[in-house]
Amino acid sequence: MIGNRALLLSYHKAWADLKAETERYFAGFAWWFFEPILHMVTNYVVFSLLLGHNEDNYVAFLLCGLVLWRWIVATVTEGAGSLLTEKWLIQQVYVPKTVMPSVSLFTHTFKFFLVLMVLMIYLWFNGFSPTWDYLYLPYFLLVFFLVIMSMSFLLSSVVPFFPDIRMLLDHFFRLAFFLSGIFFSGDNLPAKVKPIFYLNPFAHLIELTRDVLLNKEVGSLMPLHIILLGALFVLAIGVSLLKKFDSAYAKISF
Amino acid sequence: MTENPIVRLDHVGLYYSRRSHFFRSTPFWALEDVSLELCRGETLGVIGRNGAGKSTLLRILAGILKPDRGSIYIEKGIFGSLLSLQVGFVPYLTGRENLVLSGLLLGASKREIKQKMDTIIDYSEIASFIDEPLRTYSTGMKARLGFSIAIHMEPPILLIDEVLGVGDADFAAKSLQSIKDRILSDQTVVIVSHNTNFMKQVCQRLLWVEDGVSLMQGPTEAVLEQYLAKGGTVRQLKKNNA
Repeated sequence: MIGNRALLLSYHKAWADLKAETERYFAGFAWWFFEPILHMVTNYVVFSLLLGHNEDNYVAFLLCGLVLWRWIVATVTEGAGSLLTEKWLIQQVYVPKTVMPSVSLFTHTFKFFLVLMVLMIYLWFNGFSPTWDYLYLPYFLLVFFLVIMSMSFLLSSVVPFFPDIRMLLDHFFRLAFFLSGIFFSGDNLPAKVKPIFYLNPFAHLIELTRDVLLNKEVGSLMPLHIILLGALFVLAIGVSLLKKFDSAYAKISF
Repeated sequence: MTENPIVRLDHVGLYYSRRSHFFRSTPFWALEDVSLELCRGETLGVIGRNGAGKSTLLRILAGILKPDRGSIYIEKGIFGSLLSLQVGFVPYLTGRENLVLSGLLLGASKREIKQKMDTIIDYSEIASFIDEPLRTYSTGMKARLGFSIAIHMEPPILLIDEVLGVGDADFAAKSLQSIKDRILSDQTVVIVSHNTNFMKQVCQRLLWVEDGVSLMQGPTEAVLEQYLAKGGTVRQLKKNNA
């Protein structure tokens, strides 16, 4: 689906972007940790202190959701605009267009894993030690990865033609943030609303992963399998669009 | 010229969309009808006025753009690459890191880059700065590194859009000479330039493009003679071709 040269270029550009990020700021790569921490503190202040969510272990609960959510939003937002960002390059050399969204996918996934490790250490210190359910994690994170990848690829393929999508995307994510069970649990919702809430793939992904991290009983995996198939389908569309319009992107005068 | 061409374009056309209304766009044909043949090892010059479609033509040969009509044949394993300077340069990386990244983007393999690394650095004359971040470089230093990388790449077809020396007077002369050397070697080259004297020196054949149409392709002297005597003849030639 993605050729060798594309993979080599994606890897090197991702590495270059990460290296450049560490050089750009005084605090260097420490920002990979500070930034999500500050983001979490903000949400903690709002949801825990101001809105008074004081259930047991609410902070741990909130952190899990936020870390996963950041991974989605950061990657997809950057990936969606990646062909626009690299327009100069696209007009200078031939580069397979799958490279552009792959770069943001790689950099943000790398940063996500760093933050995830910190989160896990925090959780272990707070009594949520690893269980056998951790064996689910690779599969859950793989589905997560494919969902993020499919959204990035599909959006990046159409954004050059309809740049306005980027404006809508911000609002979409803001809405999705409130609907994906990040600062509340789907279990607490009224029975009437529940079926609708669980139509949202993010809600499933976040809940299942969080259940593993917080040593809760893991629910049915069926929704996850369906999401996986859906993601592969969307990814196939995204990749074929990127290939179909491969040379059309160089024609757009952005 | 008994050899089979490695590249052949037959009545190639390409348009850009110009958006006129919200949902309407009108096509603008940058190339209307261009035909050319390119053989291994030769140097083909492309001449024509500004806006004739020469740069678009080079981008087609580089595989960046695909024609909207006509047919294009490129022999297997052959690709063209523009001599582009400072491709993918990132200010926060060192010169050496940029060298690798830029080389990869220009189509070289990692091994090739490793092999040529020292030559490229020597040529650029900035060896003592090569491990410093690019943002600390002067404009001239960046230009020298960018040129040095580009000139050391060896694509099957080298595409040159205007021959310009870069950097200070000394380096400009050196870089110009290097381009000339490359062109005169057995490298296959397609070159766009307004400098007819230079074209006369280096090109075996010329292609004359005007308003997106290839008017004439042939030995340099013959095409140049017609080109320089243009004026009213452009329309005449177009008619003859049609």
